[in-house]
Amino acid sequence: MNALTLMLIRSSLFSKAQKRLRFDYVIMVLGIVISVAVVATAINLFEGYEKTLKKILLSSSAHILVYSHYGQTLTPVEVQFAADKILTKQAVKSIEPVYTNTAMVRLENKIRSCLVRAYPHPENSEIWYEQYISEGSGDLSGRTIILGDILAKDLALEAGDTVTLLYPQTDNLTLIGLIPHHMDFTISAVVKTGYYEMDKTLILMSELDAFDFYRIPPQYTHLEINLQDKWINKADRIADEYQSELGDDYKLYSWIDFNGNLFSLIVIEKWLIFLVFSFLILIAALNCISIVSTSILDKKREIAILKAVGVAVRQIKQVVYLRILTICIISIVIGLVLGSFTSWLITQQSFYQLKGDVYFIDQIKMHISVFNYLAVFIVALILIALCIKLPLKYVNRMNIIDVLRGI
Amino acid sequence: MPVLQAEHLKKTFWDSNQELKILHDINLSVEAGEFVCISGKSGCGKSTLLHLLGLLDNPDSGEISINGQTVTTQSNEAHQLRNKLIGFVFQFHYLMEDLTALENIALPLLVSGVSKQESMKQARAMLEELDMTQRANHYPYQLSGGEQQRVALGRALINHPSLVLADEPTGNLDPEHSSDVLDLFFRFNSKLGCTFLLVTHDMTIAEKAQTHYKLEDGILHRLR
Repeated sequence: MNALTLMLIRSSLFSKAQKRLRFDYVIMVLGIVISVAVVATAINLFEGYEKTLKKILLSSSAHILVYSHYGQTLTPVEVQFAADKILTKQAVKSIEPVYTNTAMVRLENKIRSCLVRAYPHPENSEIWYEQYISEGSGDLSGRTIILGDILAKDLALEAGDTVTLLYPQTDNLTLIGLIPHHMDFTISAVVKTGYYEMDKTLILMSELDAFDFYRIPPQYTHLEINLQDKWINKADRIADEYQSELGDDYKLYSWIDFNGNLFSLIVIEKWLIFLVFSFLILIAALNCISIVSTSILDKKREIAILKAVGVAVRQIKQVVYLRILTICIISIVIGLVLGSFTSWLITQQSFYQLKGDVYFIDQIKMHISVFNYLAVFIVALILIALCIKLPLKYVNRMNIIDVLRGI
Repeated sequence: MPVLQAEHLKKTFWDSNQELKILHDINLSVEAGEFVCISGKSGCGKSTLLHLLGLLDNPDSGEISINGQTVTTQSNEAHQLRNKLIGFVFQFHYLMEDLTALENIALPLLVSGVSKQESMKQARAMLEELDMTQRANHYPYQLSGGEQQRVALGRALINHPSLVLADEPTGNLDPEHSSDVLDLFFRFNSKLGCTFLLVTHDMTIAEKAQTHYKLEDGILHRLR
């Protein structure tokens, strides 16, 4: 770009002769700003949803689960064998044997089903749920439990309250029927992971309390392996590797086996939304065609003068093109900033929240990704650049003689 | 060698299927440093002839040579030739509204690839010649009609063209400004030896020119 082109673009962009904003330019800029903002908002919210769901799932669930191949529980010896083999691996952050089972929680006349997860606490220092404790201490010693937030609210319970857990077992059959085991527990804490299903059913307790409550000898349903952050997305490959080391007595599943499809779906949905909303940008870009056409007609006198003083048609087209493109690029950037602000506003409002039972989480979160913004910027720029180029052929066809004669 | 030579130029327009023969057989030769005036009634084809000579329009037939080189508007270099060899002054000043007086004058230099610094330096010198130094940073809308036309003349001359073509340059000015602008034309002609070809319907201007042609019925008649 030479000094002449720069001077002509600068002078027309910051024109002192034209003091009022042209209405059609305002409409063009608004069209681009709003369409880009809509795309950016949608992408930010989808990215936020994906990231939040992934974070909650990966921090509240194990990255690799080790089960007995035969569908039975694991004995402490089997757990020790597997742990010894895996714990030395570089990718492994922690391993915990877990016992899970269903139960019912009762408070007066209210009974809710729940999923008990029992850990060998308090010896283990890696307590995943600590970051999600919304009230209470999180201590699991001495007949205490931790409740999921939605379950607690449903039963109007809070930390310090006592609740009864029930579990029907066939060894307690009496003349009047099956009498379930029951045991009272004190609620030490309430956790709010944000993952609806978990918050609605979760009860955490120590393994000693669990064995006592279920009246079983020490045993575990599975082993939970948490990986170092950089390995999390390769959990399926690592699970395969550990599977071959542990042999056929164990069956390993990664979080990708359980949730991979869900996240693939979210990513596909995000880019589909991006594609659909890109049509908004296309419509705004199509508006540029008429703006450039009218701009050429409005500037025909200047174009005629430039031709008369010897400016090549190619250079005149370059000036018109770059002038409009500069306005459009500024509009795209403003649109991205507005999109960030709009998505932030949406996360701050309390009028509408997601339905947790449908969308897994009930919080609306945003996440700004440089890659996404770059994609929006490039797509918008390509669409607009193509649309601006189309009407430039009018510069070639312009009859400057009529213009110079003042016709 | 003449600066400009036109031989057997013809130009016809069509208006509602009616053929309008504007220029029949124009032959013209302009020597370096000459001040040529073409007069004629309004609508006789003076501006059309000027546009042909300035490579802004094509003749139906005939040939135009500038500095001995045959040129057409069809050629790829037409815009470069216009920039380097020809300067234009129009009836309506036709300045770039978004550029200052200084930038308007520097425009042809920038087009020909001269650096911005050098272009501005030469444009300032030209403004000085035009006695408009104080108006360097004014926009066309801030200048009077006479000042605008002076800037237009400065723009036409800044590249030291072989030929300056002026189409009714005083047609839009009051007598006082008209006289000022004409004085400048004659001053640049006599002082710097610039070659001028001016078309006008004003006989008082035509009388002052070194060479005077009259365009009548599509044919040029040399009167002086």
